Amino acid sequence: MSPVLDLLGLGVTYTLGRARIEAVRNVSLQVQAGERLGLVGESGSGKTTLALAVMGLLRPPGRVTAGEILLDGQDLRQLTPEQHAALRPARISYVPQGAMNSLNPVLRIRRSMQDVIGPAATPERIAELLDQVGLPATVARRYPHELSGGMKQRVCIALAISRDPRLIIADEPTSALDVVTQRQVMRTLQAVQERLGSALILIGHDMGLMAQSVQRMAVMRGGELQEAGPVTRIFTAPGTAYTAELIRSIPTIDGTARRPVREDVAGAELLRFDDVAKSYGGGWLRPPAAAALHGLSFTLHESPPRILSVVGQSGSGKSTIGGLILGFVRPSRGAVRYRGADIAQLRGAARRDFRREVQAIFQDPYSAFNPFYRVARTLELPLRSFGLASGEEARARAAAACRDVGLHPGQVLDRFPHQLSGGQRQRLMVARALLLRPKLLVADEPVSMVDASLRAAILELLVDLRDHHGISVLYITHDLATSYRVSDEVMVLRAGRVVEAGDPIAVFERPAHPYTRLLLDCVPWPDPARPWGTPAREAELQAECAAMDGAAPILRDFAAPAPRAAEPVAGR
Amino acid sequence: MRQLNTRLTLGLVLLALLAAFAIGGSFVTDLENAYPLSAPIAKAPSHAFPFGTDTKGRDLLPVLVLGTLLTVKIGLLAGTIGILIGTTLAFLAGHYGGWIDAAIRFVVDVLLTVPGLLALVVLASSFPGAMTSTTMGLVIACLAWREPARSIRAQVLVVRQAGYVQMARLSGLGGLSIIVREMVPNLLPYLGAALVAAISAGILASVGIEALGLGARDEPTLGMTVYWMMSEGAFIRGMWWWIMGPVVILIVLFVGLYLLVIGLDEFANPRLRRLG
Repeated sequence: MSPVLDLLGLGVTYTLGRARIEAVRNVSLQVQAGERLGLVGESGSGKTTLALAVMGLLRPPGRVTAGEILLDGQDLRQLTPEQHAALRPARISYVPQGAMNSLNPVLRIRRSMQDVIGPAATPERIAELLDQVGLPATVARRYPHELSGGMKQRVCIALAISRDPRLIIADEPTSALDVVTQRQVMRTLQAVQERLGSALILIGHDMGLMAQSVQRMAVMRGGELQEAGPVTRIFTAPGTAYTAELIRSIPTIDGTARRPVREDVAGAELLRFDDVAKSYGGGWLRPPAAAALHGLSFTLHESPPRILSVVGQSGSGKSTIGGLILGFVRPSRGAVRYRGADIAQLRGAARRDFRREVQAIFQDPYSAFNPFYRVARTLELPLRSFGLASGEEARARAAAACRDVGLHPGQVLDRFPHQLSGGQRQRLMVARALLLRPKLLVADEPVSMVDASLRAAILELLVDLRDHHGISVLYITHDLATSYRVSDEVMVLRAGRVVEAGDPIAVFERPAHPYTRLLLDCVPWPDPARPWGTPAREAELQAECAAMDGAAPILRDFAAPAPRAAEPVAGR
Repeated sequence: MRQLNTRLTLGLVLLALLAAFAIGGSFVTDLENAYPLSAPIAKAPSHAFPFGTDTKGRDLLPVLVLGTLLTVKIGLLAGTIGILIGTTLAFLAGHYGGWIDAAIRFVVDVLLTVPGLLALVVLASSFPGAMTSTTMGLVIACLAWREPARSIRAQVLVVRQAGYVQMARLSGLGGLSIIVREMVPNLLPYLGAALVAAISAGILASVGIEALGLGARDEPTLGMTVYWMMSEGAFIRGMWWWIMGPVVILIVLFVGLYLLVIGLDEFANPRLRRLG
């Protein structure tokens, strides 16, 4: 059987002035009909460039400079751009990264689908396509903002399969989704691909997701194909040291977590949530308020420093907790107390101390730097503004902090942010936090946008902050495995309520609440032999969760005062 | 980036031509001749009067040179004051939010419903006799801040969400420092485009009011030249040279400013900037 896609010695070169950058070098790959191929690599490995070359969407100065791209035996390099465009989405279709944000916000879903499908888009056809991706036909009448991320991603899949393509290329289709939604969307994608019998290329860097969703894998690094083979072979006997390293770097829940810090509380109270609730919207003549957090209470002590992680799906209220601690979000009820004082009431010197002692690292290392200034300013600004250091001394301390996070100060401090990689920027954010010697660091998904190898390094830095700098960390994440590996305490949040909390080893290795079990069940394990749950099991767990709605959280072997929903800590 | 540069370049070329005419002209001709009784009456262009003269005995070359300078001055005055007030209100509203935002938005929304020309006619006609090009600029500035206040507020709302603004708050910067040092630099291209748009709107408003005869009667601005030309019956008398001059200059001025606004607007568009 001849392959759907056959790449022979493909080379893509970007010509920038006199410099020639070979983004893809001599890649040969085949994908058969009905086959799912995973294309894995870190950012800059050339995997997206390769996909764009196949799609005919490479932009100048990028050009295919070598090899052949055969789609069902037809050489796509011979086509004019117009002929190549005519293949999309009839024979090749593309689900780009963050596709859900590509829906036009002012058009109803029906209009967006008509734009792509053309005159064949009868209401019946639209309903049929939506049904294939598990959405009700009424979605066609909605606007994108009325749909959840997972629903929007499914609409994009429906668009991609609308013309029964021979080849579907999906570029990190689930990177912005939480584990539960990720599994649902991946199942949908697999189901439609199997029904059409088309070939699927899944691009990504999540080895766990690959193990659970593809049959063959190709590993790319620096523009070159490292190896390709059946997924079971790659995971059991990786052919190169690089692949082995990629597999090893995946955090898993396997009984090998470091023991949490569990000495008895000694220091003063650092942070306390007193029955804090937050709802957005509401008010006179407005739709009812949406509750992000229902009465949350917990305490964090100054010593010993701990890493407290908050896990849950998107919309569970995790980030609201971070905003409340930083004073960016005001509670609707209750109080957030820092060293005993309500942070909403802090003024003057007390407020400055609070600002200096409570710092944050955010998810997006790209927007955290003001593009107008050199990197050094971002590091020196807080030192000057809090009167900790100025001039030469500020520069020296910034340089020292860079070295602490493994960066060479001379190579980064005088650059502009856009000249640095995402990983370098996220390290600088850790360096910035370190400079201020805060007492508490809010780390809101600090590793969800960086490569696997960097993820481990940055998490290591967080542990280092706790162990060597006495900084407590509130680690907000949807990644259960990293939470399991770094945290001393964990709170599992569902729809604004803590459902299970305590010792991460107990919570993750022997989950007691159905919601924790559901989250764990949805984690794609980097082991192709292990099943990725079933829809029936998911429905069962969802039903159990619903039955326990509003119940008190399950506390697991908790050394420190435990979080209790809707009940002041003082009462216990 | 290429296409937007052609627009920007074309706009700048047109404005440069006009500037060369006005600044060069002010050295070549005697601007005193832009006032009545300094030349023979109603002469077609000739060697001595290359742009001809009007029915009051003004030499039209110095009239157009001085008129361009005065009209641009009115636009700059109105546009700059409008942008300063508008930007201040926009940052107050966008950054502080709450009741400050509600109050400013209410005032701007209400005033935006007032027809500009009508209000300006009322304002201008309450300055009988004392009207000069400077007071004209100030009158127009009274309403020129409305659109910038609204459009810049929207940009502030976007920038306020940026990670670096939150980082600046965590770095202990106060509201004013965040506005001046973090937000304004990133909005400069947008503010530039808004400034040019406001200047353009100011010039248009001034020409409109002056063409109705409500401008500075003692100063030969472009709008007043249009007024005199209409009221003295240049069309009936077939004095084409009197009509052509101000019309061509106004066309060049508005097209040049328009291209500049478009060019700057695309430059300020973050989606295009990210490509660069």
